[in-house]
Order: sequence, then C-alpha cells, then structure tokens
Amino acid sequence: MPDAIDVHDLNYSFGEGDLRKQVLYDVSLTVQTGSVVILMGPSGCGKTTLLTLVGGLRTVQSGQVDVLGHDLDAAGPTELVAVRRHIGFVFQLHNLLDFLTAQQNVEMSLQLHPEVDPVTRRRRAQEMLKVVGLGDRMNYYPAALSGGQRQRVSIARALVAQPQLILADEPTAALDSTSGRQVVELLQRLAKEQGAAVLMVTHDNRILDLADRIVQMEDGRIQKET
Amino acid sequence: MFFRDIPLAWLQLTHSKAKFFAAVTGVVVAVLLMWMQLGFLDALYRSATSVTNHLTGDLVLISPHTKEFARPESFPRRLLGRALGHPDVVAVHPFYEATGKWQNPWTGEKRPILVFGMPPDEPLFDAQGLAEGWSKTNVADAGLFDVVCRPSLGNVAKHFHAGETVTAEINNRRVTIVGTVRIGVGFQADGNFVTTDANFLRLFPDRQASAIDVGVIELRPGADRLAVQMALRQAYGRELKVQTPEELIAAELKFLQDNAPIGFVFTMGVIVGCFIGFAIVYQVLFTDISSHLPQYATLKAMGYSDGYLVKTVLQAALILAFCGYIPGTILAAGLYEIGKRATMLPMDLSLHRGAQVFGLSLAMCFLSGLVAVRRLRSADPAEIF
Repeated sequence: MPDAIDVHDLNYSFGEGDLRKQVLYDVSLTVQTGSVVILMGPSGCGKTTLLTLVGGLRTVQSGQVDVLGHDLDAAGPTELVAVRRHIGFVFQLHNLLDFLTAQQNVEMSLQLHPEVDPVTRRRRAQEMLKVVGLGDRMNYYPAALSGGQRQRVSIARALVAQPQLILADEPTAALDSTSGRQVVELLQRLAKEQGAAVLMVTHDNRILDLADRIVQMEDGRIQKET
Repeated sequence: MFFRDIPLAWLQLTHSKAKFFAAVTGVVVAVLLMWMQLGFLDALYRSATSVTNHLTGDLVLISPHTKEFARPESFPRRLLGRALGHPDVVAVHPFYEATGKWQNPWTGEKRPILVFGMPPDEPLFDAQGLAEGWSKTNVADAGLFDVVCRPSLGNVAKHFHAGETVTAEINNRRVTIVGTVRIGVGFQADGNFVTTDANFLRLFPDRQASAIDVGVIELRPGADRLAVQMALRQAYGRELKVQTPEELIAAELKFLQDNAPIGFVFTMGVIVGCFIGFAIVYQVLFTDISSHLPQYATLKAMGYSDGYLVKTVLQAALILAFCGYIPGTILAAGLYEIGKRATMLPMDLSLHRGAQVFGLSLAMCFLSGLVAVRRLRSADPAEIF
C-alpha cells in the first residue's frame, strides 16, 4: 500500500523578485496510511504552508508531492479540486455554513460524490452525527451549538465521505482544554477505524500522546521526528 | 439536480426571514415600477388609436395635411366622387369630425369632446352600443355618448342607464343623449360624441357640408384592396391620401412617437425601476457572499468548484427575481384597476407585457448576480488555514 503522503525536497516561496521569501526548504515527509502525525513548530515556521500544499490548495513550485497516489506537483487546478474531494479538512474555526443544519453541513461533503444518492446521503450524514455524539442535534443550526459541538460537526463533515487522508489545522485552538482533547480523541479514533491517515498541525501539548509520530518544524525545515 | 442537491441558494436567502423579505420587497418595487411605466406607455399608445381602431371601411381618404386623426384638415366633399369611378368601389361615405366644448351638466365645467358626424344610413364605427342606439340619433340634436370617457365629463352613463333624460351642451347648444357607445379616449379630448352629419353641422355652425374630414371607402366583396389602393393613389395624386385602416393606425402611432416625448419618459421610468432592483439585489448578494467568504473558501477546499459557487449566487439572483415578480405582478393588477378607473386609459395585464417585465426582472437580477460573483474571487481556500 502506498503512503498517504509522500513529500520529497519540497521548496516553496511567497512573493516575486526582491520580495521573494522562501518558507519551505527541502522538506521531506511521509505519512503512512492509517497513522496519525502531528506537525509542531513555532508560528511562521511553514507548517501551515506545508499543509496547504499537501491538501492541494496551493500549486507546488519545486519538489515532489504525492498524496493518495496523486502526483500533485504535476496536477493542474481541476485535478487539484478532484484530489481534494478525497481529503477531509478540519479547520481551526469550524467554518460551518450558518444557514445549514448540522446534518446539511455534513451532507455537503457527501454531495461531492455523485455516486451517493440523496437518500443514502441523508442516512450516512445522520449516522456520522450519531457517531460524533450529536444524534440529538442533527437539525440544529451552528448558532445553536457550542464550540465543541460545532467542531464535532466539522469532524463529521470531514469524515463522512470516508477519506483516506485528514488534514487538520489547529482543531483545538478555539476550544477549551477538555472539549479540545475530546474532539481530537474522537478524530483519532474515527480515523483509525476508517484506516485514514491524519496530518495535524497543532500547538496543543496536551494532545501529543494521541499521535503515532510527532514532526517538529522550524524555519521552513523539518527538525526532528519523534 | 436542483431537487437532488441541497438547495444552497434558497437556504442561504431564506435563512433570515427579515432579510429575505427586504430583498424581495426591493424586487417587488422594481417589478411594480416596470409594470406601471410600461402599462401607462402602452395604454397611451393604445388610447391614441382608440378612435381609429373602431373605424369601419376598407380604405380611408384623408387630407395629406392631416397629421393626427383627431385634428383633421378638411377637404372638398366632391373629391369623393373620383373614388366612385373605380369599379371595385361600392360606396364612399363622408365623415365629419371636430373637437367641441362639452359642458358637464352637473358641474358646468367645460371640457373638450370629439364629435363625429356620419351619414344617418351608415354609421362608420364598429363599436359596442352603436347598432342599438344609432337609429335614435336621427332627430335634431341627439347623439350617442361614449361611456369610456374621463370622469370630467360627468357620470352620463349612470344617469342615462337609470332611465333619466340626459342633456348637456356642446358648443353652447343643447344636445340629448339617446344612447351610449364604447370607443375610448385619447389625449386630444375627454370623450366622444357620435351623431349624424346633420346634427354635426348644427353643433359646428362654421362648418360646411361640402367640407368633410375623412372619406370611408367600401369595396366590393372579394376586391383586391391593395390594387384598388394603388389605383386610387394614382387617381388622387397629392390631393388626398389613400390609406388602409392599418396604415392609418400605424401613422397615428408614429406621429405620437415622433411628437410626444412620452416614450422616452416612460422608458426612463423602466430603467430607473431596473436600476433600483439591480442595486438591491446586488447589495443582498454581495453582503451574503462577503459574510460567508471563509465558508465558501471551505467549500472550495472540500472540492467544490468555482462553477458551483457561481451557480449558487446566480441561482439566488434568479430566486429573488421570481419571488419578486409574482407579488409585484399581483400588486400591479390592483394598481392597473385603479389607474383604469382614474384615467379611462386601456390598462390590462397582457401576456406580452408580463413576459416583458419577467424578462427584465430576470435580466436585472442575473446582472446583479454576475457583478456580485466577482466578490467570490476573494474566497481563497489556501487562506483559511
């Protein structure tokens, strides 16, 4: 089985000419299928940029990026959109659509897969919400949910289409320590059950024990792995 | 696809009822404005031809100096004889027409009224009520009153149909209403009075029987109208114009368009309506996009294409167009009824104008959607991490 993520000699810069600023230097990183990897490092070390490159949200400038068997460094915009449909994203802020119920927000993710018919789509969204413990909140709008509940909806949204890779950016940042840990525990457990790999950027030391591997980054370089 | 998928546009628009109501109200106002402006414009054009629309005959002779049917230039009656020389012409009828002063019998107010004089054996109008009342006009100072008149003339119809004898003065001469017809008024007068040529000449003492205003030609059944028209044009040269009733109506409209700025005025009104609707819809869509940029960016990150988001915004625009059109049209129907009573202008909700207003509202909303869509470019999925 190929690795979920395989990055080699990745370099990335922002800006042009004199304003050009390199943020990633020869980054190499592999994430095995089914493993949870936490990426740590001070602000501005380039970890979020790495995450957006792996997630197909930016175009690769130089180096190799293989995600779920797709060669992202050679992919055009349309292919990037297609690859993204197989990745689950969890953001620092939940970014749920405020005019959709919890269930509809989760359904939005499944709707990207035309082979899922509307009836199945609804059923799977409901099941997923039950799994994250929101079986009694399915028809609530985000405004009526607590921060932890919203983040659980966004985890349900990221996982419902059974992606092979989940990218999470500081998923606990907006939560208190208890619900933060609960949310990441849930994410880790479900990812393991589905056999999905997780690459998570975090500052949160309390959740490091949930990772299979921890990767430290500094000044655009991978420092060490533990 | 629309029912299969989650109706994002609809859910977004209707999530806040108050906001949705405000947006729809904006479109309703725009739709209403369009209906009213187009309705008045159309009614004015139609009313301008209400008299010519009711004229019978296959061909019409008028003076080349006549620009408007309601303000004709007279010509010598003897010229009619020339048309009779054509083998296909069965008869040529003289038609008198002039604007008189009607004195409202109840208020004493004097208002312009168009008076038509026609041969007693041949009423040259095809109008409702004429067949019943015409024979009664063959007494001195009797005539038929057009009930589609402005209220300024007095409620003749009500009193007449209540069985009262209604008399009034035209050019200071007492006339008796012996029946009613339905013709319609234009700009030049507030009402119409239809009578015999003899009565006409009594009301306008300075007019001569030998000077008529219109000649109405009747052709043998099966005659080639255009061929006769060509022949008569040759025969009359520059002395008289030979027109079909359709040409007469078209010329009437053209005169109005060229000489009255109403087309411009009302078209401006329609444009203002469109602009109001455009601005409101744009404002609503723009605000909605702006306040949802991170969420839209998230949808893009998840794998939704730009096309999906563009489609959603345009759908929202079209939903607004549709939701505004229906109540706007219902309101317009009510206002048309009020307008019709106040002005006696022919205002009707026609399918044609309905389609026109619908098309304009769609275009207006679609355009605001297209402009608002540009805001989507700021939704960059790489920026939300």
